[in-house]
Amino acid sequence: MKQKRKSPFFITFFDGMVIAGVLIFIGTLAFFIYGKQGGRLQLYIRSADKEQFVSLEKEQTISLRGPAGETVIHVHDGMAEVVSSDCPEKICVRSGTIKEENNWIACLPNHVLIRIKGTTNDGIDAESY
Amino acid sequence: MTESTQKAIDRETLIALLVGFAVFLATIELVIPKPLPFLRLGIANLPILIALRSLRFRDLFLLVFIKIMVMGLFSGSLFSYTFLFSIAGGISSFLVMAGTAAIIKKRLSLVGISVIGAFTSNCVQLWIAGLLVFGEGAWFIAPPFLVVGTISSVLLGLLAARFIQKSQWVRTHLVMNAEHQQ
Repeated sequence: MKQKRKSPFFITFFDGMVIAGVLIFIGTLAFFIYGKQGGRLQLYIRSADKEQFVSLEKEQTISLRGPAGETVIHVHDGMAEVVSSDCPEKICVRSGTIKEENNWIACLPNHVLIRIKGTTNDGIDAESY
Repeated sequence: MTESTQKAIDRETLIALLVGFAVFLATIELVIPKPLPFLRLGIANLPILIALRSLRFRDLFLLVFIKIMVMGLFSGSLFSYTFLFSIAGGISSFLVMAGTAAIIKKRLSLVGISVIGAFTSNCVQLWIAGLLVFGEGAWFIAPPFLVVGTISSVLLGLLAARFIQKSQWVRTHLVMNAEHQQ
């Protein structure tokens, strides 16, 4: 163990390269994932047993079953929120309301993911992932 | 007592101490409330980073494995699918960190190794989340998850390097142990 660290902050040039590389990767990923499609917005709901699209304009309450129990989603005036969920931490309920394209709420214990999607070109999604 | 049995006892004590340290930190992390599911600090990986350049591969592997099993028991997730996330993330990131540390010796500090480890663990966990729970939607939660992981791993790497520099315990037990082996 002869190596003496010269930098007082313990960061070498290669560390900087690694951090930069990781950040560039994340940036590129975010660019492809969060690219907006615009058009009419719809709510995409993925639950334990099915996937569905619902309109954001029509007021409705959707109940989903999952491994942890029931997750209830309320849709109104172009917005969506999780009103109740039988999961331990209630992170999904505390996530609040989503209304813009690409906003999402996830409930990992109950296998629920909701997300607002644009509708101009649905094919792009499947390809960019 | 022969010298070799004494060495074996020292080695086991050292691993047990590091596991205890990791479990202590993991328990602290467990009781910190998380505002968002991906905001993890990963402080429990501090002992692994500290020992990475001093212990042999099999000892490190034992440290990582026992820590994951104990935390599975403590958090009650041992027989649930959540455990799959922790074991896959923990083992994969350890393998990549140990591999990187072995290949690139001096040019990469613990900061770089920590960032690589966190990135590996997060990618593997996202992949499993995609496989089991969210499907393609898992990629959608990836960027914030990965950004937070990168920031916290830089801080953890700095902390680990500082720890090694300052700690008398690390100097006597880990650094000397490493010199002994060489």
